[in-house]
Amino acid sequence: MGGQVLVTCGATVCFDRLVENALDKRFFGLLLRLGFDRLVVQYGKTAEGQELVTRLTQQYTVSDGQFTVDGLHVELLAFDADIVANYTQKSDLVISHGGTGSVLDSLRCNKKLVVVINSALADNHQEEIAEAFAQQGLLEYVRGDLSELLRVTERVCNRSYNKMPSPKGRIVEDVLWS
Amino acid sequence: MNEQLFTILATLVLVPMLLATLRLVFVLPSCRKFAPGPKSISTTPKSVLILLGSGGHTGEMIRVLKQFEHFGLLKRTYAISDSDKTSLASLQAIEKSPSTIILPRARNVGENKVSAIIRSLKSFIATFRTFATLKTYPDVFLCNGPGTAIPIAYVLFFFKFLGLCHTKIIYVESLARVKQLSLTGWLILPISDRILVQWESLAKKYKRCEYHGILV
Repeated sequence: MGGQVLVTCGATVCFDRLVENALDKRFFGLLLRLGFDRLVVQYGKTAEGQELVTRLTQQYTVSDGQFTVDGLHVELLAFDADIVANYTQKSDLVISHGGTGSVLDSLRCNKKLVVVINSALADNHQEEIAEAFAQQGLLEYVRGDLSELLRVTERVCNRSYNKMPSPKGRIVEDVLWS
Repeated sequence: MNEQLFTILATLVLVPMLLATLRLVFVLPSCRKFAPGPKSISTTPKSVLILLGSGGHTGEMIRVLKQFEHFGLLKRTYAISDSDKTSLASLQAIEKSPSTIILPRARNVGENKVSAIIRSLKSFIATFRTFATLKTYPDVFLCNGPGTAIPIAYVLFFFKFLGLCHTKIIYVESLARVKQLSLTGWLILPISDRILVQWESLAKKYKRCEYHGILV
């Protein structure tokens, strides 16, 4: 048994609620029960994100951005330009913010994916795209609190999802030359 | 003023107006019935200006470009806003020493409608100045999402109207647009030669939009 879960907020801003949920004891408990032994929490480049993560992990002995709780190894990561190769590909489950880039990264790696919608964002197309992908059976998305995330995460681990068709970007090249 | 002179003056005004209208109808892609020409990747290089908008838009554009099979046959130039710090870094994934056009930023004066209009006007003027000094114009302008696409597309279209260039405008709508076109997509619709969308619902809603599957 074993396996890695990646929680990602994307490159820029920290998504507070997602980080709070990911560093909650109940979330750790669920991951252990589902058989995971590694959790990576990527929280973004801002100072606010750093402060939030420091506050939430006070009770643990964090060394070099890592700590272990009840056998779950947790790694805290601000940002990695090569997150796909270094983390996404090595994970079994991704819990992601709704940014197009992060969602595509997971789906293109054929990972199980739970998207957490950031309803604090004004112009919210994240929900639109998450809903469209969910209708195609590619992912699940949540809007609500921790208990909803726990429930959906467990469901995602126990069922299979469709594979995304390969991208058709070559068409743009044809259009360009036509 | 006698009748004869007035008639001559009126003709002198009306004839150029009529000609300008005819020219506009001739160059407007939305006034033509769309017929895709045969795809022919020739050995003569094609010059293409690619807009890297910022953040997610740049990300989508690079995902598309990475899939090109004959990338080397394109003479590539990238349009990047001078306030954009990250697009150049992302571009390193596909270009070692990219040729770029840096677009001057229209300063943000405030958030009300009047200042938004002033900002747009300034950005049009700045774009016009940048493009008026170019020696050659691209065969194709490939762009997506962000608002910076609009001044570039309209300036190029204006040059096309004057007969100074023949740049084809290709617009790719963001994957995040499922139910309706973005404001940029809507504004570029009349002058864009091809509009590619990534959800079938959009192609059903707008006649000039094409859907071929998800591109990114």
